[in-house]
This record gives sequence, structure tokens and C-alpha cells, in this order.
Amino acid sequence: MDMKVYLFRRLLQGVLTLFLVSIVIFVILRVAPGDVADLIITGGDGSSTGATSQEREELRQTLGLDRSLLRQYVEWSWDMATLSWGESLFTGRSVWDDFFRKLPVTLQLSLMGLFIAVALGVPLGVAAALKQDTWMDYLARIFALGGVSLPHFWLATLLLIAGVRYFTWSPPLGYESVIDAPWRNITQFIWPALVLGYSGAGLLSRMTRSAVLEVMRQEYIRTAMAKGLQTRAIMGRHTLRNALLPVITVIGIAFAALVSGSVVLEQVFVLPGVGLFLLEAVKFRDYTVVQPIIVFFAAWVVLVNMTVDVIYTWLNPQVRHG
Amino acid sequence: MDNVVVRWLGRTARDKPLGAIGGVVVLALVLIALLAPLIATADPVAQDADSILLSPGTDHWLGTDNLGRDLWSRIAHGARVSLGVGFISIAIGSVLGGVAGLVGGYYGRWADGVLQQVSDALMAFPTLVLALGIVAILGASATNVIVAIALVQAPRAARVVRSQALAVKSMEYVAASRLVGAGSVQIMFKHVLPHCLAPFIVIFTNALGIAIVLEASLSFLGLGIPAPEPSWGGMLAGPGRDYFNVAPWMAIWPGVAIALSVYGFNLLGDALRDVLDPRQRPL
Repeated sequence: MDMKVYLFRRLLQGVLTLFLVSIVIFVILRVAPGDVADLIITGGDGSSTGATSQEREELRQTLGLDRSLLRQYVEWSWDMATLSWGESLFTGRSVWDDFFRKLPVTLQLSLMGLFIAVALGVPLGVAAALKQDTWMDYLARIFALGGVSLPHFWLATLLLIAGVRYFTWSPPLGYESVIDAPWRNITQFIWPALVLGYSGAGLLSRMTRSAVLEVMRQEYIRTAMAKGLQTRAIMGRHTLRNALLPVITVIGIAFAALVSGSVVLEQVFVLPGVGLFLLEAVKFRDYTVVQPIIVFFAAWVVLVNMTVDVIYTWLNPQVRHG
Repeated sequence: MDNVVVRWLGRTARDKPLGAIGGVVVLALVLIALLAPLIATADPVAQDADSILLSPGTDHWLGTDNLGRDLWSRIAHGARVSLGVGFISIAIGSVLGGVAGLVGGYYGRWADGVLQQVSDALMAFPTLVLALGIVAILGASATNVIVAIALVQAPRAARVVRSQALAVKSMEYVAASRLVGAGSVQIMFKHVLPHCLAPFIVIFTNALGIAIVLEASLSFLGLGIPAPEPSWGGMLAGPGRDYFNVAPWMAIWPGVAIALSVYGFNLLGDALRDVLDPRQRPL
């Protein structure tokens, strides 16, 4: 297939996914028992604030809940897309302003985590595959499985416990921006980023290992062996080049997993990012804050996956040359 | 008959030592969960002002927490919550997703297109973010945690079953049985479904591990199983961290429980995949 046609189709598909994502969120918001007006009036815990049915109707009108579902959806998605996210039900502050201020924290944590994950996970996966079923493979796999199995919040807690008990040291909590205080910023981010990176590395090394193993079973590798090529040449030229291509796709998946992790780690390390913002909003059922953040995270994943697919296409000669 | 099974198990365990360890861990976990009321040494929610923050010992095997509750009993009962919530949610999600995948893969055309798009959309959500959204709307309770995890699992199960159904439906014996007059439903259940079983078991096992982490994360964040119900994630939140300087066991045991069980399910799932998928065997 022509590459331009492919890219266009991929773009179209991404837009379609985004559209469906918005419908999923809209539906989830609407299946709440009662409706959003009830949620606001009762404060979410079912305790009545003594609002009359007339007040309830007025609230429904201001929220536009009395209009048709289609019109509600169109207006809602337009607001989401144009960043008219309204104000928080609790603080009354602009959701977009708060969000925009907190975004760099989450971006920095995710990117640092991703960097650690790739730097650690890919070489480990390659090593495990090349030495399949040796002690090195077992060690690498146990280490990798730990990254997938150990919950972030527990690793983070252990880090805090161990630091305080055995080294009378604790990771610096809180946040200073990388521009104001670069060194403090790095010392604050490195620990959560390491925890995040370890779990990403677990995922990546497992995927890398099976990708390399898959390629090592291909006929052309056997042919290369039969030709008497040196193992090093076979691995470098034929195996890794082909195996690492699908790994690029996995980095996209890992990035999505990192988002979930950063929500938890922002809470543990008191980093005022979008994840912590979302958590606080969920606790108070501040739905005007919750919905744009969820839309944002989903859109982020869709965009990352799309970018990854485009890079993959561009790097893959089979697709590039049609 | 029994002998054959035992011998096969023995051989597989020798080939897959990591998988065998996983199997043993999972088995132990299931037993603890089932027998929790019998093997717990105390009431998991009973507070005792006289035995606050005791270190592990003969009376309290794993120590007590800041309210004097016995940690071993809480861990044992917590296994019920973790495994119960995990199993129910993954079962619901896998069955719903599996049926959708079967129908989509077998019928193709628009049904398949819709299925693919919807599962793409659902998979676009980072798992925890989707779960948080659902809890934000429906409130924090065991039922809503189950709904959230099932929704995370459904598209993943749908994908696996779909790809199997796609592969099987073009096989000759399926065409043959259609020739002799078998209906679509009959073909789906008799021929396509059994083929989906192996990969289905693998993702089911791995998904249980993911479900346990997800439930623990939600409970840790105070948005999962409500207190005082003992849940591993909840035990790590708040007090577990506030007291770690004087009573580190409060934060260590629940984490060990979570890590061990997820590790167990993942090891078992990996071994099952290797055993059930001949392509993964080493040369």
C-alpha cells in the first residue's frame, strides 16, 4: 500500500477512536444513578442538602440536562475540544488554568519514567532472549516480572520506609519547577521516575524478549546460520534489526501504562501533577474537573499510539517501499 | 487416570520451574482465601486498645496495626476480597468481551468493525484512569470496583477471542460442517469456541494479576473497597504509611501479599502460555 494512503487511513482511524472515546465518556457520565444535577446537589454521598425540586430543575436547566441527548453531546464535545472546560464545582477556579499549570509535572514524570524504562528494559529483553533458558534469562525474567507485578505504591512506600529506617534519609517530597531550581527538581523526580521506569522496564523487556525470540525462529535466521555467518553478525544485522521494530509499538503501550502509574506516584510523592488533580477531583466527585482530565488522558494515549504507528511505518522498509 | 495427570503435572513442573512456583503460590492463595475464617486467629475488624502496634510474635504472627487489629487475620480475609473481586470482575469482563469477540470474529463485516472500534476506544484509556472515572460517577464500593475492572478486561478478552475465531472460521473442517448443515451458532460453540480456550486461559490468568493490582491501587487511593473491610491496598494507605517508622510491618505484609499473588498469577500465566502455545518452545 502506498505510504501516504496508509498514513491518511491511520489518521482517520485515530480521529474515529477519539470520537468513540468521547462517546464512551459521555455515556459513562450519563449512566450515573439519577443525573449530574443529583450528584451536585447531594455532594455525591447521597446526603441531601435540602434542595427543593425546583432548585433541582433550575440546576438541570443551567447544566443543559433538559435538552436532547444529541444536542447535549454535541455541545459537550465541542466544549471539550475547544478547551472550554468550565470551573471546578468546589474551588470555582478555571479547570483549564489549573490543568495547564499541573501538566508539566506529569509530562516530566512520564518522560523520565519512559526514558528509564527504555534504557533498562530493551537491553535486558535482548540479553534474556539471546541467552534463553540460562541463568541470565531467568534472572532477567524474574527482575522483569517484578516490575510488572510489584505495585508502584508499594515500591514507593518501601523506598520511604527503607530510607528513613536504615539511612535516616527520605526522598524530598513536594515540587519545585525545573527552571526555578533544577537540582531540587531532579532530586524530587528521580525516585518516582525510577519506580515508574522499573515497571515500564518490566513490560518492555518481556515484550522485547518475545519479539527477539520470534525473529530467531524465522527461516532467514536459519539460512544465515547455515551459510556459516558469525553469531554476532546474525544477531546484529538480522535479528535485532527486525525484532526491535515491533518493540517501538510496545513503547506506545508502555507509555499508556506509565500514565496510570504516574497518577499513583504523584499521590505518594506529593507531586502536584494532573494525576493528583484527578484524584482529588474524584474524591470530591468534582465532575467538571474529572471529565476533561479523563478525555485528556485518553486522547494522549490515542495520539501517542498514532505517532508510534507512523514512526513504525516510516522505519519499516516493507511498508515504506510498498 | 489420576496417575497420568500427576505424572504430566510433574513433568511440566520440571520443565517450567518458574511456572510451578507460580502454581503453588496461586494454590496457597486460593486456600487462604477459602479457609480465611478458619485459619484467621482473630476477628479481622475487631479493635483492641491493649495490643496496639505489636511487632510480629507468637500471639500475633504478623503483628497488629494502630487499632490493635491482628494483621495475619486481616491479610487472610483480605485474600478473600482481593481474589473474590479479581475473579468476579475478570470473569464478567472476559465472558462479555469473549462473546463479543466470538461474534465479531465469526460474522465479520460491520459487527466486527464496530467491535474493533469500540475495543480500540476502551483500550485508549489508561486502566487506572478508566477505573477512577467509573468510581467518580458511581461511588467507591466493591461492586463498582468490579464494574470498573470488568470494563478494563472486556476489550482485551474480545481481541484474543476474535483473532482465534478469525483463524478458525476459514479452516476446512468448519466449511465441511457447514456443508453437512450445521448452523452458525452450532459451529461457533462446537468448533470455534474450543479453539479459543487456550489463549483465553492464558489471558484470564494474567488478567487476575492485573485485577489484583488495580483493586489494590483503588483501595490504596481510598476509592476502592471501603474501610473497615480488610483489603490489601487499603491496609497500605493512610495509617500503614503514617506509622511505618514505628511499625514497618503494617506496610510490609500487605505489600508482600499483593506482590506474591500478582507474581504467582504472572508466573503461572507465562508457563501456561508456553505450554499451550507450541511456537514459544525453545529450539
